[in-house]
Amino acid sequence: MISGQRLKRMIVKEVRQFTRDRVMPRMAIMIPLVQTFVLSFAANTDVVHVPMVVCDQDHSQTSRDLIDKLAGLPQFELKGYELSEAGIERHLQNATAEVGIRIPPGFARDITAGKATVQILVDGADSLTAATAAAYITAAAARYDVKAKTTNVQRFGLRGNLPTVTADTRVFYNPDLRSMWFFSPGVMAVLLFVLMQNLSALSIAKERELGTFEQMVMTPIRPTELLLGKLIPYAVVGILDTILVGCLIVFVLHVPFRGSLVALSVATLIFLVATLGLGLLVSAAAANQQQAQLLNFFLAFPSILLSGFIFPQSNLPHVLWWVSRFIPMTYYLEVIRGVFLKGSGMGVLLVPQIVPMAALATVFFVAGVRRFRKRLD
Amino acid sequence: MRRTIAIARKEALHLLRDPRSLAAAIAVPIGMLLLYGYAVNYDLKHLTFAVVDQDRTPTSRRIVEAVDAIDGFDCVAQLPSARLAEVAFEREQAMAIVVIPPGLEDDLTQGRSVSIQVLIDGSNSTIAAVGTYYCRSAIETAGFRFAREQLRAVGYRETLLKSSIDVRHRVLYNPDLRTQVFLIPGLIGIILMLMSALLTSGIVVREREHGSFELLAASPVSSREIIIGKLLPYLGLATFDVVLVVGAGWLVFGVEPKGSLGVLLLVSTVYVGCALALGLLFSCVAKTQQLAMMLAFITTVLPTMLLSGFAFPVRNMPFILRWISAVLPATHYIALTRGIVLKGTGLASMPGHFAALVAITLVLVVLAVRRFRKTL
Repeated sequence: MISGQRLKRMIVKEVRQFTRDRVMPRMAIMIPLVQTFVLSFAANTDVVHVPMVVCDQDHSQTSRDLIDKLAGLPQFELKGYELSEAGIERHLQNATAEVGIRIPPGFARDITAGKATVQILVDGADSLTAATAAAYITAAAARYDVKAKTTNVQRFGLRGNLPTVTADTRVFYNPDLRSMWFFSPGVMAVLLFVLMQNLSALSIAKERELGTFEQMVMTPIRPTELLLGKLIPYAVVGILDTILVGCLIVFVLHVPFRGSLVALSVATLIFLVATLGLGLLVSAAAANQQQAQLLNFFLAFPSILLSGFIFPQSNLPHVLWWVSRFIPMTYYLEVIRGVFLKGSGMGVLLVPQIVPMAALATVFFVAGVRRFRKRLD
Repeated sequence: MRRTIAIARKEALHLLRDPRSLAAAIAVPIGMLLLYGYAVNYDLKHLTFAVVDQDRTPTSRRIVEAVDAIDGFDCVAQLPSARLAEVAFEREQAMAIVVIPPGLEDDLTQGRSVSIQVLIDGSNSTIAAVGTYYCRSAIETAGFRFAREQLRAVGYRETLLKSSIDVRHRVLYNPDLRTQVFLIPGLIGIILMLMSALLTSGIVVREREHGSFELLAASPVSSREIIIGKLLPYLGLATFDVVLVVGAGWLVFGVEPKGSLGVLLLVSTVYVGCALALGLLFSCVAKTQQLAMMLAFITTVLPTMLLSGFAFPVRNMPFILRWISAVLPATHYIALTRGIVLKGTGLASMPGHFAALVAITLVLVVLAVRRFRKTL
């Protein structure tokens, strides 16, 4: 039987301990704020202002035309001119430019004869930027190319023009493909995880290290009350932090929130239970704070890297993909992204995301409580 | 000098007598590199797309085939109508939908231009950006090839139709554009920073917690000798980690250092020295081991992952973050390793980064010595 009074006392004790600490309450507010801002502005994979150098060996109106077209794209920033291919290579080697374009002599003459070439040199070291930048240049050159062909065809007095197929792309949910819209909501998950995991695991490990655990066992408090009394204050901190970060993302960073608040709340609570369960497991396995800290750290890394927070999950090798299925954050991130950007509701999210997450939460929490009570007895 | 060596010997004995920490210092970096080397990847793989083909002619099928032929794109479904697009996106059944309008073939044979709609799920902006461009160029190329055949059939001369601008790509340093090649040098930087900072974050505060600090303070050893003596054995261990991690990157992921191994080792030694000094500084400042580890963890993991240019280009960051990025040792180390490993550059072409790395290291060592003296 849980006694409300004993539970209340326990909660009061935990809250006092938490607020008396100089560092912890500040961290609980500062870490979310700093993380949200730094992450939102740093995590940016947009391809803009890629430094570019040009080697124009033709010096014709046509070559200047093409260069102007490319340099005018927002994706590139013209850093300067070089006289030879070797000059471009030097820039790439020293990382002062990432893209180089060489227009060989005779370009303007060859283009009417249908045999002109343009050389693009890209620094493949940053593969993502290189691939995108190369695609932009090729597309721009192809458009120029088609125009040149059409004039060619018309010049020879033949009827009609060259029919073209254009791809008219329409991007859903994030039309300007802003990185911030993709990364910021994910911060909620990472934050809740890191904070809850650390606070719960460390607070229990600390009692054990200081020997105050035995004292508490001597009191009439029951293990369940002890446990709830410990976890409830941290769960409240976690929920408040989530709300704080959520408001920041929506009202300050202006990331759209289109879906169901109910689905998000339910998922958040389930995720919280799963994380607290993991924290309990960690604290049961650790003999002292240092070990708890190290264990937390080894759990945090796979959660961040395998859950799809930064790197797409479709790229994970099979084994790691299966590992990610046992990480609650994988599902929580899907819910967050669905709710924020896609406007998803319970209907779409329940079966594929929320149910498996709830199953994991149950397993972790029950296992955590069991281990915890066992160590108490 | 003799005293420095004595401290170093004592610290090395500590390290050797703690086989668990020693094993962790060797196994963890390797494990992390293997795990994350496979996990961190931006390559386009298994991108699913669906087709709404309202034309159903050989030409429309050719366009679908052109998209399907892109590396990493898989056609998963034929949808009856584009109205189901959002449902497909929400259920994650497809990330792109190609909508071919009715009358495509007729229009093209009669010389009219056609526009094909491509709907993209932009919720993962990184994948969507690259995917959009591949998709667009495949469709436009396929269309052009078709138009050329048509014109040839009605008697246009071949020379007119030859591609008038031939774009020749030359990708340097990473010809297959593998993201692992880009990310592994950065990953090495992150792992070394983390391991080294955690290794030393406990050593001074531990002496204080165990009470052996007073003994050390009473001895004639100066604080500079203590700090350097304590750093040396860890520097040996961390340098061994460098060899392990670089070797694993080479053997497992095929990221072969193109530049001089000696230069790479020199730069890496300075870098792990820097990280060790940082951990030692925390150890001097913090009152408990827990706080020292916490500080080491928070100041190394997130900033190094986010601000060092490991995955996100520094040029995209706002001014303040770029400035913070410039004082992070990992930023300079990653720039240097990318140069040495991928491009085969020497120190001469990147003197700024090396000078910055050395300067940061010296500042951290001096700070650690100072903080140590104050509390002695």
